[in-house]
Amino acid sequence: MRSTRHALAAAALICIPAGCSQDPAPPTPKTAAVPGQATYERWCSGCHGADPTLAGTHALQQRYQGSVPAVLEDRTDLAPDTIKLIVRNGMNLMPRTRKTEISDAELDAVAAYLTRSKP
Amino acid sequence: MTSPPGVSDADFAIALQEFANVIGKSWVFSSDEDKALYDDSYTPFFNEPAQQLHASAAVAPSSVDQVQAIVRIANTYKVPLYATSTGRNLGYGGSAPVYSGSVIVDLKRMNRIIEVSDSAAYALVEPGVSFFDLHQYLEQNSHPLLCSPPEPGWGSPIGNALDHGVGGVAGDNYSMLAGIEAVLPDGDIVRTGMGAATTSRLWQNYRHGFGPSIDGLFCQSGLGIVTKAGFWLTRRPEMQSSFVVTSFNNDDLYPMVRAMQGLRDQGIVFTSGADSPIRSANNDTNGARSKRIREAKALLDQRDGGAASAWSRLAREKNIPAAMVKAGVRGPARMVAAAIEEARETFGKIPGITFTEGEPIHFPVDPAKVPQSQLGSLGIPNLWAFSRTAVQGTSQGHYYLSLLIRPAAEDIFEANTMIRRILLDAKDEALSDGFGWRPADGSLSKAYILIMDFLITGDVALNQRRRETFKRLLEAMGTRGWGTYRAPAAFQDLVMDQYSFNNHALRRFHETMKDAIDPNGIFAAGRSGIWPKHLRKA
Repeated sequence: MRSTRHALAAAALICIPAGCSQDPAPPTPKTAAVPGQATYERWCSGCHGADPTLAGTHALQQRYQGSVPAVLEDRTDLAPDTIKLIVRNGMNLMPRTRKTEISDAELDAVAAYLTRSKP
Repeated sequence: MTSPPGVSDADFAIALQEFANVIGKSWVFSSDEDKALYDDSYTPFFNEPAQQLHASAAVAPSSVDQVQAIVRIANTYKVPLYATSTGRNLGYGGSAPVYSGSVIVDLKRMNRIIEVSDSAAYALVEPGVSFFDLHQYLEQNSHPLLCSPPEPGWGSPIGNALDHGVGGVAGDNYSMLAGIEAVLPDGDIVRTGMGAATTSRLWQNYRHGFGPSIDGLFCQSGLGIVTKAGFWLTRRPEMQSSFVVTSFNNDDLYPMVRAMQGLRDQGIVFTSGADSPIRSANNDTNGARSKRIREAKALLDQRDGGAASAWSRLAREKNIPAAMVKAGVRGPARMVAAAIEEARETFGKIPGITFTEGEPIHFPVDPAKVPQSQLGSLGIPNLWAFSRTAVQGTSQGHYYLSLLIRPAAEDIFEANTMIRRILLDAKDEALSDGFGWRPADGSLSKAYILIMDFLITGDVALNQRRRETFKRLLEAMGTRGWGTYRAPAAFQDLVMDQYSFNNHALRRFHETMKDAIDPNGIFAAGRSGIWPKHLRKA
């Protein structure tokens, strides 16, 4: 359940004190070192985390049968435009994500996070 | 640009500009690409574009003042609006309007948690707050309170309650709603209950206020855009535990359910469920894989649902109970122990049952250490519902038939048998196998919920046949006196049709109020089958 725990333990990403109205501008991550990671943990890792029973990871394992990693963060072949297309339009069970949930700037950061150079 | 029905292109262009003047151009979504983001991700009309429900635009205000201004503009140009909170009502229409061509009022930016009171155990929130947000806030600010998340946790406490949603901690989430602020169709603003007294300090404490209570009028309706609401929250207990009662004797389910309701009525258990595991053994849902028991499928495929004696025999043979009830208990450790013992003694009066105590869970909870299926009942929002659904295979989503039956074994058996007969007649084996046999959800205190999810496929003809099956089931269940408490946008007219007592007196009452409060018919036209005058069928 590591991914679920990350999603729930992520930094406060909405305004906590009363009287403050929050837009989906990039929040200040508590633990994330890479821009986009905090947004990914908030919105994506609940289904795309490392746990193989999570819906997205399970679906990708079924789709690719291990030819590529089922965990998105482990992929090295993703293209930013494809990521953004799928996030906005959804795919199968994965619903669309609106700009009031993840802004265009945040989505760019998520795409950059998933396509960053990995060792 | 595609203007809403009844609005000229010229007027719509002006309205969009006026919306932009209020909220900023970047929060008015009118391009084709941006409007499409509000389509129902789980449309029952996959690949049937002519039938799909679409927004003509969306606006995303960040304050009550902006909502009021938007509403006044909409009234001027007769632009139909449809408000969504977090817009994640998947399975019931998502963020798409019931009246295609409406402008979505996306309230996600209004995401303040305005107040949390530990002493009175309540929260006051805006509609864009999700269960994830509220839970995080409660944890990070050390509030000893639990929210009541449905599945999944990214929904809105306000949106969920206003759609009569069900949560793992409180059950009937609307029953915890405590005070509403709403913008009315003329742009005016009202607060309900004690909030209507200007300097009240009791808005979330006492819900009735003075005079007729109107909170329910904002549920599943088009009479207001709710901009704030209070919720009573459950105080975090010392611990939570559970128990399961099983029997190989099919007919033990009758006294088992009666006994459970007795415990429920006394407040000894806070949630429950009933099942016939030997019947549901072939389900590919609820986090489990089908056991593919051939004999169980053969009995299920009988039109009478199989004889009780046959099920009892199969249960013993397969060592899978024919009758099961389960419940959750919470509170201080001593009271939980006493509740479990009371339950053990109560069920012990039924010969032959097995009583099994569950694993106790102490607060604070480490989510990594409890089964995902229990997170909701612990007040921890999650997305386990998607994991559970994903094992059913690839689909384009699903929509729900949300049935209420009495909390009685006879209803569980009869409803399942009736549903399966209709599915067998529809000759949709995948749907029939997907349904399997449904356990009853006892989240509500005096009704059981049977949820049937209709998977949407890539096959248009199959999807069409499934929609017809949905309608047949709806009608059959209604004729038998079982209700539907929530419905996808595409079926809301049909559901409201079933509430037909005294020549549809309820709908006529709603229409009278609609005409008075929303004479231009600009709010949520068609929601729950309630249409403004100019759109009503003769």
